[in-house]
Amino acid sequence: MKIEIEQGAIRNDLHEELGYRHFLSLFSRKLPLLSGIILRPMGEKEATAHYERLRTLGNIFSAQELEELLTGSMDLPNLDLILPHLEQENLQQYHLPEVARFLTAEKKLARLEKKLPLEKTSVEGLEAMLSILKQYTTDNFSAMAGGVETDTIKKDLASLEEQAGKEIRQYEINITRETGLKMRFPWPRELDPDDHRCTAVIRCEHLNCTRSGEMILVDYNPPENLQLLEEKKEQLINRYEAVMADLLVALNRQLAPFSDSFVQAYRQRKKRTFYYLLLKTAENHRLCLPILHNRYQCVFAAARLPSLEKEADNYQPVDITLKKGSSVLFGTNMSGKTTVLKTIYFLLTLVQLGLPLPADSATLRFPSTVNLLLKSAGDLRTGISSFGEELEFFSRKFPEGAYILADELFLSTDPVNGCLLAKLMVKSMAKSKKLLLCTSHYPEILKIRGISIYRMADPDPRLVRASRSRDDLIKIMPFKIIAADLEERQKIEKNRTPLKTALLFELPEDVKKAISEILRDSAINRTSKQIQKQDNKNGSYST
Amino acid sequence: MKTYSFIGSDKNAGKTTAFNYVYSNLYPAAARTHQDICLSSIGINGERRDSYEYKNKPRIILRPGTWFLTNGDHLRAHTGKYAAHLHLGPPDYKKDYIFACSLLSFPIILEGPNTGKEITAAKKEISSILADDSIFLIDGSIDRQFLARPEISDAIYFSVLCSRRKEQQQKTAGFLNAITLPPCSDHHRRIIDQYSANSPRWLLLDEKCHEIGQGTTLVSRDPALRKLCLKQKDRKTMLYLNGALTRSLSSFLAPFKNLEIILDNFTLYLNIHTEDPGKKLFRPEITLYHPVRIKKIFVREESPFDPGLLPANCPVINIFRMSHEN
Repeated sequence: MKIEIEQGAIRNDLHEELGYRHFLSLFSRKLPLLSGIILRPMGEKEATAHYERLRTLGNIFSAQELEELLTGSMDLPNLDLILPHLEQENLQQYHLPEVARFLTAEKKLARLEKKLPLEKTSVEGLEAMLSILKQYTTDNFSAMAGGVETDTIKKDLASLEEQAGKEIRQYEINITRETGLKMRFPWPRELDPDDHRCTAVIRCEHLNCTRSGEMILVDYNPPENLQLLEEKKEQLINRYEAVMADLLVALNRQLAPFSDSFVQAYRQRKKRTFYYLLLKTAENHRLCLPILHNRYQCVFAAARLPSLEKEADNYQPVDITLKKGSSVLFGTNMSGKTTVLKTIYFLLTLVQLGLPLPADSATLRFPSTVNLLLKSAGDLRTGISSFGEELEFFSRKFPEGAYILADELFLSTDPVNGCLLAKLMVKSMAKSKKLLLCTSHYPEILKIRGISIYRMADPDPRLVRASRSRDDLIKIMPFKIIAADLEERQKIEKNRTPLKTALLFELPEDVKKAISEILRDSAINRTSKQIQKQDNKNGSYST
Repeated sequence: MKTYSFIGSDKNAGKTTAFNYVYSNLYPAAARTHQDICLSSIGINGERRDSYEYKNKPRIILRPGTWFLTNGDHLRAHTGKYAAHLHLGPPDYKKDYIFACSLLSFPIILEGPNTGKEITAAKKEISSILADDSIFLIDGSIDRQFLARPEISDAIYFSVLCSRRKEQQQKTAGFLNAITLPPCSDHHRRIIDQYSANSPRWLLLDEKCHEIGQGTTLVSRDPALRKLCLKQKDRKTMLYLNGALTRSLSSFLAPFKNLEIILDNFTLYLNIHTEDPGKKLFRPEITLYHPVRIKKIFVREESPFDPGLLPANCPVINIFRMSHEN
C-alpha cells in the first residue's frame, strides 16, 4: 500500500527535508484494498467532517477492535479495475474469485462492526451477490459451474483426444513404414535433398513437401479420419464456448440489480478502512486528531517534527499559541527559530491533508492556506533577489484566516530599511484576520503593541564554547519557546548572549577587548538601573 | 519449483517452438505423476501472427491440468476452460495477471509479468500453490535477456538461429561466446562470497585476493573503478563485475592483459556481442561467477553453422532435423 501526496501540495524543497515520506511510511500496511492513495488538500467543510468522522469512529472502536478490523481488511482485494466491468454487466470469469473474496471478507468485517454497521440494504445485497456467485461457480469460485451439457462436452473432448492420440500414432507409423522417416506430429522435418529417403518422402501421400532454402521442408497431410476428429473437437469447443458465454451473460444479468449497492458498499469500505488505518496509526505513534474551530487561533501542544525527533537526542517538541494578527519569535542563532516555523508548516499541511498530527493536541482554525517564507539567496533563473522574493511574498493577497510563516523578516535588505519594513509589516498584520508568525532579530519590533512575542531559550555559552561541530551545538540547544511578557521583552532587548558566545572564540584581541568593554558597560547600566528601581521602590534616590 | 527460461539469439530463433517442444515432452510424464507444469511468457507469445512483422507464429496449446500465468485480457474468449486461482495486479504488478489451471485443451496467448522484480514476486506467490517438484517454463523475448539471470531462472533453453546474414551471424557468435564462458575457480567464488553482504557492483582484488577497492554504483559510470584499474594495470588482478560489461567499459579494459574479469552471470556480457570494426583485442580473461546452466540448445539452421561454436557437453537439437548431438 502506497500513500503519496498530490504533486504541488507541499513545497518540493521541503518534502524531503521535513520528512513527509518518512511520516507517511508510518501508515504503511499491507492493505490491497487501499493500493495507491494520493492525499490532496481538503476544503474546510470536508476536513471538518473528516476529522469528526474519525473522532466518532475512534470513540466507538477500541484499539484492539481497530486492529482486528484492519487485520480483517487485509483480505479485501482491490476491485478498482473490476468495478467498471460489474457496472457494465461485463464481468469475466477471472474477475469472479476476486469479487467473491471481497464479499466473503466484507461479511466477516460486518460481524466485527456491529457497533457501526454498513447500511442494512447493502449488506443484504452483498449476501445475495455471494449466493449468485456460488450458484454459477465451483471450486471456491475459481471455475464456472457448467452443468450436464458442459460436463458431457468435456467427457466427449477427452474421448476425442484419446482417439486422436491413437490415430496420430498410427499415422506416424504409416509414414515411417512408407518413407523410413521418423516423424513426430505436428513437428515438420527438414530433409537434405541428398537424403536417400527423399524420393519416398516426396511420393508419400501422407506428407507435403516444399523447398525451404537448401532443404526440403516435410510437413503433414493428415488423413481424413484425423481431420474429422479435429473438426468434431472444434464443434464441441464451439458449443462449449457458447454455453459458457451464455452462462456468463446470465450471471452478469443476475448481478446487475446489485451493482449500484455493491459499488457504494465498496467505496464505503475503502473509506472506512482508511479511517481505521489513520486511527490505528495515530494510536501506535502518539498522533492526535486536530480540533477545528472558526476562531483566529492555533494552539499546538508538544508538536513534533518526526524526522528531527528521531535524529536528535535532546529534541524538544513545540508548544505555541498563535493568535489573530502578528506573533514574532526571537532567539539567538541556532536556537531553533526556523525549526519552529518548519514544524508548524509541517503540521498545518498535515491538517490540510486530513492526517493525524504528531502532537499531544492541536486546536486551530482550519488552514485553508499555509504560506511559508524561508531565507533564500534569490533565484538566478528569474533574476530576482531574496529581497525581491520577500516583497513578492508579502504582495500576495492572503485571504482571511491565512497562516503566514516568515523567517528573519526583511533581513534580506540593509538593517535600517529592513527593520522599518519589518515593523510596518508586523503592525499591518497585527490588525488583520490572519495568523502571522515570523522570526526576527530587530529589537525595535519589541516596542510594537498588540502583538505576541516569543523567544527561544538560550544555550549555556560555556557549552557553546565546548562544542566542536554543528551536531554538538544542536545537542546543547534547549529548543524551548518562552512567551515573552514585559520582563522577557526587556531581556530580549538587552540580550548579549551572542557577544558572550563570541568571547569564547579565538577572535582578534582588540575585538575581544571591545566586546568585554561593551558587556561591562551593559552590566554597570543594568546594575544602576536595578539599584534605582529598588531605591524608587524604597522611596530614596541614589546615583 | 524449478524455473527454465527460453531465450534466443534472435527474434525468430525458435524460442516458442522450443518452448512448445519441451512442454510437449514434459506433459505426458507430468500428467502420469501429477507433477505441476506452469507456463508463462515475458512479452506476448502464442499469437497467431506477429503484430510487427505480420508473420505466422507458433501457437501455444495448453493441455488439461497445466498451470499458466497470463494477462487476464487473453482469457476473455476462454470462459469455462480454466480455474482461476490467483490474481496478481496493481500496484505490485503493472497489469492484471491471472494464475490458473487449464481444464481443457485450448490455444492460449501468454503474457506474463514483464520485469525481473515482477517475475520474482510472481514466482514466490505461485510456488506457494504449486508442488515442490513443479516446473515453471517461461517463454522469452529477444529484448529481455535478464530472464536468464540466476536469480530468476535455474537453467535456460537457448535457441540459436544460424542464417546467412552477416549481422545475424555476428549476433549468434556473440551469444555463443557468452554462454561458453567458463566458470570462475571455487577459490575466487569463495572470496567473492565474503563480500556478498555489501552487494558490490564491482570488486577489485590483487593477486593474493586482498581487496583493492569495491563499489556499489553502476559499473559503467563509476570513475573509481576505472581509476583503480589503471593504477593496477601492470599487476595481476581480479575484477568481479555485477553490472553490464558495456562497450565502453570493455574498450577501456581491453588492454589489461593481467586482469581476470569475473562476471556475475553471462547476461552481463551480452552488451558487447556485436563486433565493431577496429575493435581492440580483448586481453583480459573472462569467467563467470554463476556458470551458465543450459538444459539444451535448439538450433534453427537457415544455413550451415560450425558446431565447434557450441558449448561442449551440452545437448544440442534441431527439432526439424534431429541430427546434431554433442
